[in-house]
Amino acid sequence: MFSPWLIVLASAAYLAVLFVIASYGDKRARDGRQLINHPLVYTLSMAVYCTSWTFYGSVGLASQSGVAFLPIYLGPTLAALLFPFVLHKILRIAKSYSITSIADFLAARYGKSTMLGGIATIVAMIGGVPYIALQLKALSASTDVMLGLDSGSNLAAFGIDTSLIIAVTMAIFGILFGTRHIDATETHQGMVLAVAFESIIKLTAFIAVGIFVTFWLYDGLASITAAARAAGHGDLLLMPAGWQYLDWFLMVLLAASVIFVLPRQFHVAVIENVDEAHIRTATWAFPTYLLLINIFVIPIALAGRLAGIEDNDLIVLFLPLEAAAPWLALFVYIGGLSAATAMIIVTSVALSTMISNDLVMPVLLRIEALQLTRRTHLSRLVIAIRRASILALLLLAYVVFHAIGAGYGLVSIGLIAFAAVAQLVPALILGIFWRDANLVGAMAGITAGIMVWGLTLIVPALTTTGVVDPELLANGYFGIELLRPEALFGLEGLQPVSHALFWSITVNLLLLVAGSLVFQQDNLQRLQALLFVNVFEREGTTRIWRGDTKVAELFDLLVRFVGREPAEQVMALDAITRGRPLDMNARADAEFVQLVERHVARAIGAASARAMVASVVRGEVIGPDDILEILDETSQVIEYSHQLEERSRALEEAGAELERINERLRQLDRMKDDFLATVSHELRTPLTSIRSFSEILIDNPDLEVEERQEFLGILVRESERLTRLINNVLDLSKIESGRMEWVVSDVDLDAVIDEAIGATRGMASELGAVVERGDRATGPALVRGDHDRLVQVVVNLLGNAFKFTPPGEGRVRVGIARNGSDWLVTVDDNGPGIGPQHRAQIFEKFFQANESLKDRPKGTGLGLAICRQIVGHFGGDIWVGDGDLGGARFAFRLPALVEEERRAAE
Amino acid sequence: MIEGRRRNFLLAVLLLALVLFNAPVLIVMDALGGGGYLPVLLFAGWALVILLAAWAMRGRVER
Repeated sequence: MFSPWLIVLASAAYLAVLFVIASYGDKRARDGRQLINHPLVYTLSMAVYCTSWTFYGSVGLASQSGVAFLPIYLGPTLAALLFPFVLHKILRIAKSYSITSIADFLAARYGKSTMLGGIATIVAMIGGVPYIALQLKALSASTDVMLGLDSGSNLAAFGIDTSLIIAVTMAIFGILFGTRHIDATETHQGMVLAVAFESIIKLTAFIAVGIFVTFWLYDGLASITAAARAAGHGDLLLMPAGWQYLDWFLMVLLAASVIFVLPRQFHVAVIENVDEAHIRTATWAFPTYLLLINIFVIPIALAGRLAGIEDNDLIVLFLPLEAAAPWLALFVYIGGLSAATAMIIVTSVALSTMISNDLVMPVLLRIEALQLTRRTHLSRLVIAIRRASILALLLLAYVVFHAIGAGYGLVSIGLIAFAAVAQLVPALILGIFWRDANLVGAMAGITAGIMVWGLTLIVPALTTTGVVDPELLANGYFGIELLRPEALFGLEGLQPVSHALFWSITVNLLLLVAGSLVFQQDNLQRLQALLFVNVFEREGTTRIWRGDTKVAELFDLLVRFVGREPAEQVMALDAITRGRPLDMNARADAEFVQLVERHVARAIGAASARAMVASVVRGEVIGPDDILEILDETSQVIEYSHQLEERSRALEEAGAELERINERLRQLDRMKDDFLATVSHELRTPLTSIRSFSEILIDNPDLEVEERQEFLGILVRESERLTRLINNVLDLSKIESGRMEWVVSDVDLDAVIDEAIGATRGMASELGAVVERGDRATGPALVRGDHDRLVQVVVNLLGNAFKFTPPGEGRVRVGIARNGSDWLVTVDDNGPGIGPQHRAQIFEKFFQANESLKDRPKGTGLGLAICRQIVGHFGGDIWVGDGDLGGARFAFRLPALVEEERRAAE
Repeated sequence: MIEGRRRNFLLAVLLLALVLFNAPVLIVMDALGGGGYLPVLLFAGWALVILLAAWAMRGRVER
């Protein structure tokens, strides 16, 4: 075994390292460098959840009941998934209203009630002190093992109780790093850094012993489980005997809910948080830590059972000791030390803040004889109270530890503490989501809950010590069988803790809800409820006090509670935000009153701070009912302006729509004007030539016959052109206006093409162009359409093609092909083609692509526009591209009549 | 903190975890393969839940 000197030296060295880390963290924080501003440091500090209960107790429990230790870690995993919803809101509220602890949070939520703050503090202590005692027990037992003493002797070789030394050391640590400044909302960066470091140490130590046991003593997981099964310990791999699934569920629920209320968890997760965004990482990283630290629990527990170690809670330490690995054992011992110290330090700091702010200060401030409100340097008093509370807490825990003795395992003490603290959960969770939750309900719920907890869990425990008659368990309270403490109202078969949890939380919740529904909130409660529940919507709306006190009076108050230097800093900061320093003789405005109350709250908690500020500005401040009125008015105005905004947005949209329609109308109007202008122009050209040639004929009756014939020929041609133009315009306007009378039937496109070629034969030979038939359809090419109009389309396309082919050498090819469910008709020519820049516009009215071809018969400029209208009317489209004959290819497609074609083919 | 689809995804992971870590599934885990695999299965389910949660929270924090 180890020499006592070595153990003392190692422990002292470890604690010295902690002191160095904490001092370094504090020093860097003073230099403005926040070492703890990292999501992983935040997560590691949350791992203060894993105490010696985890480090020693998990294996202890697992060696008896297998996976029964797991709900305590699965619960927080579930809770972590709620961090972005619940913890985020708690955090925002705590930062917005300068909350210093869980008790302060509840007090502030329920109308800044000193009473509720006190009750919550007492509940936190009922849960917290035995929990610290548990750490002392683990520490002293592990020290005894390292020294080779009988476990439970509590005496080190020096004749001094080791756990007492540890308790005092921890108190010093807490006092040095946890009560450095009066401002309880200010972060204790050094302490958090030390706690994060401890989380690394305990995790590494536990994993080290896990690897040692699993892969050194045994050949991996399979070999341990095989050995355990062979030795008859296979039951540890099953659901623990005597456990119901309801037990399991309730344990998961218990562990999930206490994550938000355990004083130390609230402290590291809320008060010490420096950046809300760290929650994102913690949501998955915190459960990961829990998984890692538990992954070797079952293998170690199995090995412990196989090795026949009697003291279950110390298997982690005995295994390396018995395997002659003393240095590993020392490392494990340090790991256990780190798990315990982290918990003790953070819990004692968190509890001491509660005790001073919510228990001692409210009482002291009320005792008139002390005349505390008139004393200066109250900040020193507050710090002294906190320091004394830390010392008192640890000594109390030391006493409790001796009272509990060896009777209880680490886990059972921890679970009892959990169930006590869990009584704060309903008031917290309902408080941030339900506006109507009120003070009466919260106080009744918590008080009744903790009483039921005592009656169902503590009283039965006392039967083992002989303080209470063991008969009680069988006979029930007052001899009523329904009131048996461990089977209340006949609820039998559950584990004592889950039984107690079920009844206490049920009573707690019922009273909270019933109380809230039956009783009214006073105005301050309504205001606080409003501010808490709507924290994300109501930022910055608390500046509504209308103070009528001199600045100097409030400044004096501030100096008394936070000290002169910090108070002057507050004034300096205020001057910066205002842009000018406040005149001490001026009247304090709303913002300044608010500022002072917030800073005083940081020192003594929300409830007392309100009382103190009210004592200075009594009768002059605007009351909470007025504030509520203002808030209501404000919210009405906000609501009204929302409605107005919505209405004006709707109007804006309607206006934009009208604007769009108007623009479209104007465009159509412009198009109509353009069309009329172009048509008149196109009509005038043939008319002019008809008129001038007619005049020549009238003026010169004795013209040569040939000349007269030539002029008459021109007259006929121009008249024909005029007729064509007018026909086209009429056609187009009919189609566009929807007045066209279509003769719709099933049309064979192949026949349409033949017909069109026949109709244009004369024109072709006149211009010296040759028409070829390209691909043909194998059967009938049926489409739905107007036969004559479709012929007109092909005729137009052919006519266009002839006009642009070289005179005497023109070639035009018409083809038809099936393209999916469409028929595709193509007209290729060997003309100059259409440039890509014109392809889109060529189907517009009166667009002429090749203005340069002066010697060609001019078209009306409407043919292609008509084609597009006709094809479009029957569900097809028309376009132009490059053809196979070196010129343009006009193509259109129409949907094929598949069914009818098949029938025709049969 | 977390919006829209991510938010819903995280809540879905929470429901999955509730199902995985509680009675009906737990009974199946306990009995699977003739028994004795409960710890391994629980840890596997646990790791899965953590991975899904990390997936929901992935990406940079917007400030």
